Amino acid sequence: MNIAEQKIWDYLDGKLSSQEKLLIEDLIETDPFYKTAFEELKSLNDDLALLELDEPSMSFNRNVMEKVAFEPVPGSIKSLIDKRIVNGISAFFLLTIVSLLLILFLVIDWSSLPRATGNQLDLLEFNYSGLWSSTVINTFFFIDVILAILFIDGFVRKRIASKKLKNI
Amino acid sequence: MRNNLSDSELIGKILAGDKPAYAGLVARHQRFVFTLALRFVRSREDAEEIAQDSFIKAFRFLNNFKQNSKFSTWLYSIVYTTAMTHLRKKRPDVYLINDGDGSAFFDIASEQGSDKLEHKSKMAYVNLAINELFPGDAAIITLFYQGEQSLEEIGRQLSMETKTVKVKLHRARLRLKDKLTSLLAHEVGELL
Repeated sequence: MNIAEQKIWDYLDGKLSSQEKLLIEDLIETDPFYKTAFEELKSLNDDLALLELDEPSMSFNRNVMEKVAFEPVPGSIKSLIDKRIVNGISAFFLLTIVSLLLILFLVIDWSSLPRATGNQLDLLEFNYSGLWSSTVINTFFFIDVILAILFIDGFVRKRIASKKLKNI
Repeated sequence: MRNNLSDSELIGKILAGDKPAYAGLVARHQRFVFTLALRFVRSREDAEEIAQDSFIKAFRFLNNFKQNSKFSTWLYSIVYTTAMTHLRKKRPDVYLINDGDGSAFFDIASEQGSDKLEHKSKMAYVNLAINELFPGDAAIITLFYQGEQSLEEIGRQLSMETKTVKVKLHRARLRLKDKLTSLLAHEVGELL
């Protein structure tokens, strides 16, 4: 690059020491080459400084905020959970369960098991009434109530988030 | 009023759980982020996608922003890396950067009239010349002039030494000047 041009750019950017500044100002005044180069570069510099910014679409902010609504608050515990770790743990447990089942099936001596015939395996004779104790029914209702509360909580949170977005 | 709050005040609110406060940050920086994204891709749709992704990433990692630099400096570095990733994914688009003949701009420029129109056409030429630069050169010019970032701040965003940024900026302006000269020569040729 032309050294004279570089010096002029440094001068325009305000990157010269006071001594260098005086020197270049003197050159611009006395040397026609420096004068022409300075006028050209200053004109370009002024044009660049006046450049206007482009405008994104009207819905840009709304689109961003719609996506942000589904993101956890930065820094919250939820945001710190790495999905890869969760997936890794699930994969580990899944693999362990599958391996255990495989080992179990391989270890079992199938020939020693009594053969099931239509008469021996009478499923209809199983006593189901014993299952319907008050404890089972209470547990069943308790789980239902918990699920209902979770569903209502999720529903209300979504409604609040969408209301907030509309107010932006 | 959210508009009166500084960037760091808005960030404090967001980190305290006020997610809608992020809209204030987006509104404040969206024009520059979009303009910077446009320096890497030609289509406005792609630029909007880059700008949106950058804002989402910035939100996700907002707690990592240490506030020892300007929020804009940190945000623009995210835009830069997001745009580079986008370019790597859509490689063929890179070559589109130089394919415009600028006819739309010549139409504006050929109209003679008020100072405003002259200014508009001049700016159109400068914009066109910037669009014809390599994305890296265009980004440095945009960050320096439109983003009002210092050489040190640009260096932080692009992971470069300040000296390297200075040399790159000089070269980019030199190329821009050449592009502008050839564009204007083309216009004179058209008129003759």
